[in-house]
Amino acid sequence: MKTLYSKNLRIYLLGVFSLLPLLLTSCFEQEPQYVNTYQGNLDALWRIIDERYCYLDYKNIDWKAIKVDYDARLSKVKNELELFDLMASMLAELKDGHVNLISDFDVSRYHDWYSKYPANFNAGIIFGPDSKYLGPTYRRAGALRYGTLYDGTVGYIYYGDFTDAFTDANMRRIFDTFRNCTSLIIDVRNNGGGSILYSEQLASYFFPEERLTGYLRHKTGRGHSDFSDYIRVKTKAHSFLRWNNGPVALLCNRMSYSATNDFINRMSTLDNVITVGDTSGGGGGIPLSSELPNGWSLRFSASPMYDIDKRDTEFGIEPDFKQDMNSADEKNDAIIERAIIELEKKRRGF
Amino acid sequence: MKRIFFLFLFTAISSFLLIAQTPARLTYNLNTERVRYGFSSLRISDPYLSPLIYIGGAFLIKYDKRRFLFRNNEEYSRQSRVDLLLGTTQNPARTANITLFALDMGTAVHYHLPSFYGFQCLLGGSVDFELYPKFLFRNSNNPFNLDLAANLALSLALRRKIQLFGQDFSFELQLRSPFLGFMFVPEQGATYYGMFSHEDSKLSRVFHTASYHNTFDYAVDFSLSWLTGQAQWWLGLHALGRKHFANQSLYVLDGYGLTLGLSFDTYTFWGKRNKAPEAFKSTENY
Repeated sequence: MKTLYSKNLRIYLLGVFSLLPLLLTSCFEQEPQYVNTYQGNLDALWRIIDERYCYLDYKNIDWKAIKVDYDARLSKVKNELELFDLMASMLAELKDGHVNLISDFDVSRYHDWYSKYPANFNAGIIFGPDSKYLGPTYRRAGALRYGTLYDGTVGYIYYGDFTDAFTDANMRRIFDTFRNCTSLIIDVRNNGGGSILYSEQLASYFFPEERLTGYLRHKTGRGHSDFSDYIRVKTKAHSFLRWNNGPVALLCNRMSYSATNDFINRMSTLDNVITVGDTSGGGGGIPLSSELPNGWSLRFSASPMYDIDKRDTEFGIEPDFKQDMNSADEKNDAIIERAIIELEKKRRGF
Repeated sequence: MKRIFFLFLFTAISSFLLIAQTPARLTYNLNTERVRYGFSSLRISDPYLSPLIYIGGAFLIKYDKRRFLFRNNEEYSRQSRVDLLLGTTQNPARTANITLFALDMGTAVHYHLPSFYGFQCLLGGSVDFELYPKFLFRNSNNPFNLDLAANLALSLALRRKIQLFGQDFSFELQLRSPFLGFMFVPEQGATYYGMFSHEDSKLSRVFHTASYHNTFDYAVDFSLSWLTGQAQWWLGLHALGRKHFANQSLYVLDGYGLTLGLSFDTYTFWGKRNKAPEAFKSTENY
């Protein structure tokens, strides 16, 4: 009986000791929690950007100096609206259209990336009743508006929002309509972006095989330059649909942003594609979200994207053929006209 | 005719073998199945979704089944369990919700130690699989995070029977804590597009070996049970704690709740000839 008791005791002690690690392993570093005061929210905002925003070094932003500046201004803040405006102003220092502060009464936005440049797009010239281009009777397949120009020799697709869907069936009907065209224009002006997956999908119809079209990285730590290795971004060829009828012109302006910028970057790697118009708006950082103690949401660039030569695309992609529109001309779209000339040259091998 | 003869022969031989293998008196191992429902508080800290701590509640369902491993041995039992948890939490300013749907399942094998000062102790290990998707829909490219883990865990159950007001009651404390496994934790700045859409994405930075150096998980159930008619009722206190530290971030999920349910013994008899035996043996009595 005594032997049994000792054996049992050993087993129980073994059980107790095996559970000891539970008591020893609770010392992990806790995320700092900021209080919901004006200063607490400003500190939280500053820290999120300091640790997670991906362009502080690339844009040579002295984020610490900005903190000192805005800390001083905080003493003049009297209410929530003023706090919001102060924070919006602080975020505008990042010069990034992907950065927004979102409260239940306002959304801060930075728009100098397009507002200080020529508009280079007038929908009325293309879709208006007196248009010499598509006019109001254009067809629409999913999110894609389309028609033919110049006696049916040039196909024209307008895609205005990368959040709007289109399908393979849509694209097959469009290509079928364009079967007698010898060149194609894809107009992504005033397309502020959306889903990068639609960018991949639309580009896939023009790729003969899978190709490297760029790179991306993401923040891996709290330091401004703590990035992952370059991750290759490839664009796949569509399994059964492909444009084979000649050169393609992409029309861009400063409002071609974010996923649209990514689409231009992918398409620019193809030999039969030219870009015409203005430098795209950029927005090369894939945004993530976070939030402040007062519940306001914050969106910021976290994962920078690069072109095939590992150049950052945050500030946009220059076109092959720079062309501005004449804002006084209500009949002609100078960018479309230039695209048609350049397409014809390319088609003939100039 | 030939086919009918072979079919008859096959059926006769099968039946004979089946009868020959079944002793006249045999103790059968019952399944003790237990279903409990409850509510739990919930506290979530998920830096990938938000730097804030979210607090709320959850509805939970806990199911487990226990039986002895061998027919003539009362020392080893197997327990299978599935826990489901559906919860919603809010940030302190109440401007956003994290919704959680959790599936936690596992199989444990316990050794039934001899009774010690009236306590029944079951000690063993389990293989667990945990899937905790969390959604914060207002986020841009990080609207959800997935706590995914597969673990080997220590498992302990302590029981004691007492008499109160002339009624038999039983207390049970169950504790489980993983000590080795792997878990999925994304890097703070990574998007799911970056993680999974490209062939040279380094998933080694997403999947981590989990042990006490970076993980502290526990699940505790303290239950009081009593017999009413054919069923045994269970009133329990439930505590859940999960702490993961990876990619410079601490992820926390914990909650405390109340559960109520019942358990019953079952045995499945297959076939017309496999009749209910005379003697049963339940894990509740050993």
